[in-house]
Amino acid sequence: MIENDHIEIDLLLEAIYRKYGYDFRNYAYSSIKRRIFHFIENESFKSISDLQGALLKNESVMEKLLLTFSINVTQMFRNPQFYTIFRKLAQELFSNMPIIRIWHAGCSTGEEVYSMAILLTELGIYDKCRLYATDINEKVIKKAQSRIFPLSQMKMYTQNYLDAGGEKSFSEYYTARYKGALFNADLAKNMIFSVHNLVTDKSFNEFHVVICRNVFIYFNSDLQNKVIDNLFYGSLMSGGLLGLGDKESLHLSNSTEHFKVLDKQLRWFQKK
Amino acid sequence: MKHKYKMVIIGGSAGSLSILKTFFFKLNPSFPLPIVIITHTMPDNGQRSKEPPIIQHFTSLPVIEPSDKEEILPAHVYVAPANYHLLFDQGLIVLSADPPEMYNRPSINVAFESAADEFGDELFAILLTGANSDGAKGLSSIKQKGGHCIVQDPEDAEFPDMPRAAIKLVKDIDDVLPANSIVQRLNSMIIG
Ligand SMILES: C[S@@+](CC[C@H](N)C(=O)[O-])C[C@H]1O[C@@H](n2cnc3c(N)ncnc32)[C@H](O)[C@@H]1O
Repeated sequence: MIENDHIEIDLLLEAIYRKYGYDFRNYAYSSIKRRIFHFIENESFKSISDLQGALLKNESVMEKLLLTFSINVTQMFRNPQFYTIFRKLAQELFSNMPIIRIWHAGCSTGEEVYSMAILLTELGIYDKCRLYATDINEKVIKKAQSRIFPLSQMKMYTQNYLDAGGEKSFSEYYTARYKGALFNADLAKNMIFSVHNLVTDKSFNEFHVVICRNVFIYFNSDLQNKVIDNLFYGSLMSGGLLGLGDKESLHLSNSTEHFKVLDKQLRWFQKK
Repeated sequence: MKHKYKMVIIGGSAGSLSILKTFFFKLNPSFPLPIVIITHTMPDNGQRSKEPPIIQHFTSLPVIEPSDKEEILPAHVYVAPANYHLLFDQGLIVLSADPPEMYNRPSINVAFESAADEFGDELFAILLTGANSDGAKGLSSIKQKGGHCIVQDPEDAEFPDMPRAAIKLVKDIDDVLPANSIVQRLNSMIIG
């Protein structure tokens, strides 16, 4: 038997989609339910249908709910060993290639992209790399382009950088400005930022590497499989690498046969 | 004894690791249900939790730190990874990096509430020692859906706050038992 809550949440997500075009219908149900109930409590709505009524009439309610739905938390060199492995793989696979295209899907405020640029610079191959960084949320893309990250985080990022096998002094990559750390313009020279929705938008290039970390945990398994089997599989060249988040895996995807597991713990896969 | 349960979920905080060791040492190795464990593991810079290998020493059931959307299998033990909430959806474990709840991630309340939704009266829940009040609200949801709730006897608990908070909030807890008797209850499920 399907719960009443489940029916009401499905209807709410359908209403959001029809009215505003945001498609959360295949996001992970249990997590989205939790966030909706949080929102109802914090904003003092009486019920899901009460929220739905307000949402349809008032766009500002939708904007607030969007903030609840979008989790943009990220770090530089998040899970440092992920980068250590990539450093090795890149040396093996890319040293003789003329150009390397890397797609950071769901890049949030860009910390991951700058980490990659630093790593590639230290490998001496950044000049031939292009980093395409996309996210559904325009605000985080703007922030990523500013090259400024909170100064308060630099201690943790320095440690992450060292754990990831960084070879220099991390502070060489930025200058302190008020409360921000402004990263060197050189790092951003081969980055291309744009808004892209993994659920509704198509592929836009053929890539040597696709990195999509901590985005799939917000999707349900059908949606995750659809994105991997169609979008990512279609966007990778054969032998290309796919990197996922710390707790994400391919085990439900049809593509398990099409990908070789390079490192199960650190979530690196290779298109066969 | 025939029973209707589909899953056992265990919540615990301070003091619970040593309880869990004995618990799995004494648990019948042919225990057939999946067991999911939520403890307040110390975040250790995104690395693996230390619990699964420790617990694995004491049982022949496979002990797993699940990935997102991992299928829940019979006779497997799942330990919630540090820094993620653990929820359930259609036979899968779903992880979430939403903000901590009452400073906890994983939060026992979050996991219990989601398990109550998923398993209803086919859930067998256990709350152990701990120095905060996480788990009480979750047990209350489990009770509302008809699940079976056992709380470790505060007298038997190294840190009695967590069991006490649950006993205070949830009036109709099924059993309040010392840790030893809780394992016996599980073992008795498979006899007969
Ligand atoms: C938790 S952040 C991950 C950031 C970074 N990849 C990391 O691992 O640190 C998740 C990001 O996914 C984005 N996102 C969510 N749904 C999306 C979609 N359908 N298409 C593209 N990006 C999406 C969010 O806006 C958010 O910035």
